Amino acid sequence: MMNGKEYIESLRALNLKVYFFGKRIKSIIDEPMFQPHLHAAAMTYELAHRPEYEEIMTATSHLTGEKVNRFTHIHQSIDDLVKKVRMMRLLGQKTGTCFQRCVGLDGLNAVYVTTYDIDQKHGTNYHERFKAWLKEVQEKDLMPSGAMTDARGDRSLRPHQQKNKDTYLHIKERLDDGIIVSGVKAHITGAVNSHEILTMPTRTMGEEDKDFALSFAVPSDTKGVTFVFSRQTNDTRRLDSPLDAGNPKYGIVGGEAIIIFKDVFVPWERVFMAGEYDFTNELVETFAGYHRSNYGGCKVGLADVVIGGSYWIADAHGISRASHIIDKLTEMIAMAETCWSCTLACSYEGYKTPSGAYHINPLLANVVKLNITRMVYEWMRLAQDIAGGKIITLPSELDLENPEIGKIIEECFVGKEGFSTSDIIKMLRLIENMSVGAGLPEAMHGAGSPAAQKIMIARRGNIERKVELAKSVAGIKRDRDFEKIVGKDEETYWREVKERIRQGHVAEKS
Amino acid sequence: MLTIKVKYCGGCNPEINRVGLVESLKEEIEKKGLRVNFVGQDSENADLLLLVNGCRHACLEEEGMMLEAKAPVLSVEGEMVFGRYVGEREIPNFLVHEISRSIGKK
Repeated sequence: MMNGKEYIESLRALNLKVYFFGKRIKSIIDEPMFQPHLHAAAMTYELAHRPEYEEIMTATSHLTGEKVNRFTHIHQSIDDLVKKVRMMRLLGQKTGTCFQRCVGLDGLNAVYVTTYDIDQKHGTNYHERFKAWLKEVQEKDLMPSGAMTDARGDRSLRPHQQKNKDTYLHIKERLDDGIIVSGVKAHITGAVNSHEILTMPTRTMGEEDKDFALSFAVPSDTKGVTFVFSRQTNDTRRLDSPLDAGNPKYGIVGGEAIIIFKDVFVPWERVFMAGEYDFTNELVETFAGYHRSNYGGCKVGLADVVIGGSYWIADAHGISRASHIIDKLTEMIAMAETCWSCTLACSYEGYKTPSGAYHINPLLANVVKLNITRMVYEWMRLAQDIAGGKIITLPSELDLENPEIGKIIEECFVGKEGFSTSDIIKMLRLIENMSVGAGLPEAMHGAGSPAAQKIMIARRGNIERKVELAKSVAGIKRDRDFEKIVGKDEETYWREVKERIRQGHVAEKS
Repeated sequence: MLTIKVKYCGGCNPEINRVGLVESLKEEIEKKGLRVNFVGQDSENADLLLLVNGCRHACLEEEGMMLEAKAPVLSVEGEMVFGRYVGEREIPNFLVHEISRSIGKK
């Protein structure tokens, strides 16, 4: 297993074609704009080497029996599912942002489960191919990005109906030794600092979309692959000064990128789905289930940081004992722990798939994510409320360093004794970064938008059974348990009750 | 005569009607004219153990029921049987098929 530093150095061997601000980036690991994202992903490697974290950061490979980083592990038990979300919370706490590597982990597990099922039905050999690639990922401790979302063009049209076919990644040509693919994947987390790209279809496909029913893995520097790094709220502040950036060490969200595939050759041994449109739904839903469950871990880790920061600021301002502050912090904690409870529940309620890998409870995973789309906004709103207006009016670090005005500014932002102005500004900038920036819409749309979760919740909510329960309690449907308790059938019981009431009324009147 | 021991999970939030499923199974067995005797979970001896889990989590499997079983096991996991999606309506027929095979072996 690599440590954090080794991971960053390992990226040097890759020759990625990356554009940012209209220019080709020469070196990923030397580019100042990418530094925080590299550090956040490196944390997933670093903590695996620490005895105090290895219990959740590492696992035993079911393929080799060797110790591997849990981010390359296929869940073999309920315990593995639980440890996965514990790992998410830990890393959220350590970075205060997205550490990017969970998308690839969920892709590994979803493709593992689905390729097994495809082979059972179609007699293909995808699962063995996938396991061979997975073994390499585990042994080399690679970080694959999980590339699911396509550019999608006109969303009222299916992939094969699109005027520009490249709005969805698709097979252009089938050769004896592989396939040629083209198309565009959008907002792919951690893409420019991943060793490999694992692609998956973005939606359920029909027979006419066969060429779009596609999953494969290629090294990130494969010929024909181009990345365009995305912009984020206040991103260039990190070029101005570390303090102004808010979280200069680990950044905001995951460092997303567009991935353009232009006539890319993929050898068959790296193709895991090529036309099996009848399994696109399974792959998408399995991935979405795993990924949505994560949000009750990582975002709660972020909540731990922002709750701590909010209390610290309240304390620095001398108002930490004010009842309204305690009330707001309590609200934040309760919301965060509600999300945590959801994600633990969806892990504990998981099940074994035919492939042997374990999957989370899909209904509860979607509830986790739906809660996150709301509660992250709410706890960040409360963080802003506690921190006060300073989070949007602070002067820059350069003004603080200016010999003429710096000292005046420092005195202006002083807090309670024992808290330095520079620390107060650091914390305010962190809260600004976490509560104002791209992290909020990421909580909304990452792993799918709320409407997608509601579809899944409605589909798996088993309303029919709830109707039967209500009918039983209301007395519309026969309730055998009740009949056992009262020792007679319901009809007789209620007839006797009514008779007693009637006799009571007659007695009262006489 | 084949003896089947039936064990239900706790039924906290089942995806299927567990009791209804066993009733339907009994009806199907009768229709097929198979000679089967159903016994409760306290019975010591059985030729087959039927685990009726209300959902895919399959608590009975988690509790080690499969490992402890002295007889072959059939495990219903919500709408699945042994990890394969079967569908609630089709499960009784699916089980009858499996039970017929057990009778054949016996």
